[in-house]
Amino acid sequence: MESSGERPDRSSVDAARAALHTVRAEQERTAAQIQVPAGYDEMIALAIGVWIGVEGWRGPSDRWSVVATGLFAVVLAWQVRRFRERNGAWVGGWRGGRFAGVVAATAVVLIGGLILGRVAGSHGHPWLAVAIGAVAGLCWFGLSRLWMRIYRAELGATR
Amino acid sequence: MSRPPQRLDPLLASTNRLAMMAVLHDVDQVEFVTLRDRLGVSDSVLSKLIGGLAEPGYVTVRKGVLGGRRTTWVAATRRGHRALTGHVAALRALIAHVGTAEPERSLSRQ
Repeated sequence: MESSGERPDRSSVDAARAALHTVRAEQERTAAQIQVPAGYDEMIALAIGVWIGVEGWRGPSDRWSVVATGLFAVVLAWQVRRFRERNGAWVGGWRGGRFAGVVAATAVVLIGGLILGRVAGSHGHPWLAVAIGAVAGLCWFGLSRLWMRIYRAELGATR
Repeated sequence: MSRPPQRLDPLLASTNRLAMMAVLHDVDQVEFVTLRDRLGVSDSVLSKLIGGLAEPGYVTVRKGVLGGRRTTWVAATRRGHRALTGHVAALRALIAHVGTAEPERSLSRQ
C-alpha cells in the first residue's frame, strides 16, 4: 500500500479496505468478549456503601474508618483480579472523551459521599451516613454500568 | 494551515501486527495466552510480533500472575496508540482518495 500523492491503484485500495476491516473486526470482538464478572459491580457498590456508612460511626477513634477503608481496598483488588481472570485483560476506567464525564461523576460520588458521611456522623446523625453510603453505592453501580455501555458503543458493538 | 496527511505505518502493514495493535488499543492490558488465542497464532509467532512492536516502542511487556500462574501482560504505549490511530486515518484517506470512503468509526483514545 502506498500513501503518496499519486492516485492509489485498485489493489492498494482493496488492501486498505481489508486492513480497516481487520481493525473493525477486532473492535467488535473486544466489545463482545469483555464481560463484567457476576457480582462485580454489586460487591464494589456494597464496599463503597460500608466504607461511607462507617464514616458516620467512627466516634473518637479512626480505627473503624481504617478498617472500612482497608475492606474497600481488599474488595476492589479482589474484583479487579476476578475481572482479569475472567477476561485475560484489563480495561481501566480512564479513557478520556465520552468517558470523562462518567469518571468525574464517580469521583464526585466517592469523595462527596465520604465527606458528607463524616459530616453527618460528626453532627450526631450516623444513620444519615449509612443512607448516604447506600445512595453512593447505588450511584457507583449505575455509573459503572453506564461506563460499560459507552465502552461497547465506542467499539461498535451491536448489543 | 492544513494538517499534514497521515502516512501509512510500515510497521502495521502486517495483518497480525495490525490486529494485535487493534486489540491493545481497546484494552489497557492483555495477557499473553488470551492474545495468542485471540489472534490465532502460536507462542513463538506472538513472541515475534510482540518483539517487533516493542522494539520501536509501540508495546510494553510486564511479567505478572493470572489465576495462580506466571504470565506476561502486554500493553500498547502512547506511541503505539498514536501509530494505530494515524495508520487508520491514512487507510481511510487512501480509500477516500478514490471516492469510496469507509464509514467513520471511533478510534479515539487519550
